[in-house]
Amino acid sequence: MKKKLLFCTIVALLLSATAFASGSRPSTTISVLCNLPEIQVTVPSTGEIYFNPFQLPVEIDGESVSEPILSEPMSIENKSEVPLSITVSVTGTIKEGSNMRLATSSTKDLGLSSKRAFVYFEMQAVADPDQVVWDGEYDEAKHIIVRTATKTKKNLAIIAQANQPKHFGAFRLTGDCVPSPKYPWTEADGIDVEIAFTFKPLSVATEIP
Amino acid sequence: MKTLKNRILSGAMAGALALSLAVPAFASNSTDITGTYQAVTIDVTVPTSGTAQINPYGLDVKIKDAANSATLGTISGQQIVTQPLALQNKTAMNLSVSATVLGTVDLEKTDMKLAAATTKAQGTEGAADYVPAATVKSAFVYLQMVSEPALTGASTVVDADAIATKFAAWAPSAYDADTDVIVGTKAATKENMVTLKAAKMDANDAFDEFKAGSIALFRLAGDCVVTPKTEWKTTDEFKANIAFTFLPVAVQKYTVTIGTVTGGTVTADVASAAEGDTVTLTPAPTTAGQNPTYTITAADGTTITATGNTFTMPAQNVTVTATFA
Repeated sequence: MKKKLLFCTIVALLLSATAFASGSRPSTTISVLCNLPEIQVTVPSTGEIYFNPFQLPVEIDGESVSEPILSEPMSIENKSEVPLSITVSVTGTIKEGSNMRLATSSTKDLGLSSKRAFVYFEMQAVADPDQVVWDGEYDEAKHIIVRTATKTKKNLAIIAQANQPKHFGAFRLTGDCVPSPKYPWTEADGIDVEIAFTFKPLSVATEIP
Repeated sequence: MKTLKNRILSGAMAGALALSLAVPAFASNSTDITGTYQAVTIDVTVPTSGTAQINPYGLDVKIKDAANSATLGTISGQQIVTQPLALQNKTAMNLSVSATVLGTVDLEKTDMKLAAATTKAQGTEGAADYVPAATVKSAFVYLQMVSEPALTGASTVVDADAIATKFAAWAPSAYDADTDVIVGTKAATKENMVTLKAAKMDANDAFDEFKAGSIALFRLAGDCVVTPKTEWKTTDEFKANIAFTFLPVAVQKYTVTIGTVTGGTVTADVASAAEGDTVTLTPAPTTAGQNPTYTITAADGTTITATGNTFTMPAQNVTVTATFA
């Protein structure tokens, strides 16, 4: 009888171990996919730049300005879910028939006689593209000089995600030019500037400077 | 007169009789015990599949109801986000849950890596123990599991909506080596990640409803490099397989003591109960029409609130006193 009882106990143990083993390893397979934002940015396709060597009053967007290099203020708008770091490449092309040159530094107060223009690109993250306080002077760290060779500045600005403050990137071309060159400025003088933007998404937690 | 032969025969017969009598006599004095195996049935609802996202930029991710895609919550700012997953214990016993996790990266699709530690910078820059942030496309992913005591009741009450809502409210937490298990391309196991409390069973020992702690939520969490050298692509993905082991653990029961009762008597339907069990009190006033006011005190002095004539058993002994008025 003891043997019988012992046998039953062994059977019970075997059964219990089997029961746990057979039913205790269910599993869940989780497929982990990459969630990427769609980058949506409104970028103006064209703009205009004016040489104003004699700093005459010119009306742009209802405002009278008299800077030697003028462009209508432009802006890009971030409509994406994420902040964007903006890399900008700028390439200048002197119009055919013009004998002007693009300078690599300011022409102010140098008494130059060659027909040169110092043009640079400036961009800022702003809440309102109509309320921009532009930099007063060229800053190598923040601006890109327009040359005939392409110049690129990585991560020039960071703009916020859509519907957040500073989700606009206001930009302009500005600078100076020799007011009275040996060969006077004519209507044949001018440049085409191609501005290429590259957008890199950033964490939504990024603080916008 | 008996001859010797007869004596021998009668002696032999007597012996045979004695022997034949001895066998039934021996059998009637023994105990025949037959062991019957009480089958242990572990009934835990485990999802066979789930989805999660590598979310490098911390985009808002909506937590959806699997049934109708309704948005039940939003998880913001997390880099690894999992859609609701839960283990539901329908067994009459507590279960210790262990998990073995294995990550699989298809190198033909992606160049991402599963990191063994956080991808974020650690320490103060310039300090001797400073660890810079990772730059290769990698994600640090770990499995987290938590018991959810608020999910109680019948299956119709604890439905996908209820689970998803709790899941969406599950606060993010940093990796804890004591409780979490890292997802890597080599299997890793963590024992006793959580204890699933026993479910309430009906009179036929079938599942009736979930008690506090019968359900545990689990998720993949972690971080990843935001802007790796090779940028994230939609083809960057991996799979994580989680194999669960459930081991029964003893259900701890706590005593229900009826203390001083003024103006009548009170009885409890059970002398002891497990945490989360509903205990029902039956009042019997001396004066008809009087109602009892219960004071239920746990062993540590905590007062337990009665709802009508019932209360939920805490994880300690309780004493019930009552006054009829």
